[in-house]
Amino acid sequence: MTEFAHGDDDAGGVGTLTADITERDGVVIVNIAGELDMATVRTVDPLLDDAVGRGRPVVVDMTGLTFFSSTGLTVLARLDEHRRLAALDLRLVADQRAVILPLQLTGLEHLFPVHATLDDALASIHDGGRSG
Amino acid sequence: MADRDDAEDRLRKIEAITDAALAHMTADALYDELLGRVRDLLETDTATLLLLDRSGRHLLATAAVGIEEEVRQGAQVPVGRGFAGRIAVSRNPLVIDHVDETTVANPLLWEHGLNALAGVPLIVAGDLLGVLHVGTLTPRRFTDDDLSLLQMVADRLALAAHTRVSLVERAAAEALQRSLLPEVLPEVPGLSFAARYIPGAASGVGGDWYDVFELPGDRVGIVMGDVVGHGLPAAVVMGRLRSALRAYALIIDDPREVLSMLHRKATHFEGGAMATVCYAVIDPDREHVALALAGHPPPVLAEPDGTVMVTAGPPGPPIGFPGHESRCTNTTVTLRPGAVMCFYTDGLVERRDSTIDVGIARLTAAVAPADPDTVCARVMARMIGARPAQDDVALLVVRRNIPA
Repeated sequence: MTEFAHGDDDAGGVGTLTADITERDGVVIVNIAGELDMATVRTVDPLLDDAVGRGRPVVVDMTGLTFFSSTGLTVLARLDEHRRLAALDLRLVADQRAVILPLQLTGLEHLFPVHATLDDALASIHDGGRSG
Repeated sequence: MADRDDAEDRLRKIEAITDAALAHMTADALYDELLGRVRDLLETDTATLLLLDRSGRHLLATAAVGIEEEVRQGAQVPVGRGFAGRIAVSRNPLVIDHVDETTVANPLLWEHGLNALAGVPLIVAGDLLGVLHVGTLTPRRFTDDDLSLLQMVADRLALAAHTRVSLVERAAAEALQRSLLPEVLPEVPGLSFAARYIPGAASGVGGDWYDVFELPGDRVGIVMGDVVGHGLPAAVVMGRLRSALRAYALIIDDPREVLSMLHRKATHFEGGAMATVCYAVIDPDREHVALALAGHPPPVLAEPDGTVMVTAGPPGPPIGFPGHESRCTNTTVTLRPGAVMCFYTDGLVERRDSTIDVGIARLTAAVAPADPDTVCARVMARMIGARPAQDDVALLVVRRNIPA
């Protein structure tokens, strides 16, 4: 059963995912790399909760993701909820088809500010901070 | 050392029964047997197993020895309150040496005359399943050995409970899913259909569904949907969305409007549930297909001359994606005599080793304007082949018949 699936098992369609959280210039950066699926999504949830709870702008860097299954929708829905309800300043970073195509196919690409690089995302936050 | 040997010996007794019993006993019998054993081994008067309910807010007394009325009366403890409720939150063992309304939530415990309680959490794969506790009528100091033995029993109970829930839910999900997919696709003048559904090898059934129904005015509705998630919860949501979509389809002609209503229904009544859906309506002449996508991959059209293309305009967000209005648009596709349209879920085209556009390109290469059953067989052979599908796969092929 999927409940037993851990991110460190690459057999049977269970992917690996690494995630970490850092801060740079007052921005929380969540870095997600590997395969985001039903089994590995649990790794991300506590990190995102941590990140959005810090009361600072959040960048979710997904440039290291090689697989973004429909489970990723739940992650995006949660992030979006924080953005709407807690006025979270949120940026996504991705430039690879493995993430961009699922965003387009699920009709979500226009709901999220997506940047090609981490530097772009950080710059847009700092620009936004000055102009706002 | 003697204590440890004793503890290990006691544990072996628990293990012996668990391993042999798992295969042959029902979970309820196993719970009772294990509770009886742990009560005897720890020399307590009561042993109680409480399992977390579906809402995750209450612990329900599921099995008990020495205090059976807990189960018979359906005792429940709010998570966070009382003895068991605090263990559920802290996920740590807890011992109390006086039992009254200040330390426990369930009056049965002090009415029963319990004096001391020791409890531990049931955890499987990081998820809290419930709480196991034992109680004595006389004063008792529970030792660390007592607690570690109790935790070992709890681990075994957790596994048994988890297995039971998994098996029951899996069977229920499969039965539900099967009952909701059409057994026979309708006979509709001017059109022919074929479909395939395969549960995911890794996940069991998920919430993929397809539907074909006749609508007033000789129109035909076609649905392909995929609930995010797997197992029984996804199958339940799928059943509700399927019914709701049929109801809206009956009273609303416009596919985009039908999906918009479905989205409102899902966000209002099925909080947290999401699904990608394609809804198409074929007109009475079978000449035009109006379709709208909510987060769903676009159908593939094979023209009678063999040209194959991906149809449909940009999708709106998935059904149930919180906080946003539905933003689907309608696309009209011309269906020439002999043309084939292929609806599917992402399980058909998604691969870990390539991007989804590659999968869709492979699909377009596999679709031809032929008999729907032939198209289904060919697509499944090319797309799935001999390896088990990881995710659910649903495929529905419709063809506009060539007039005789």
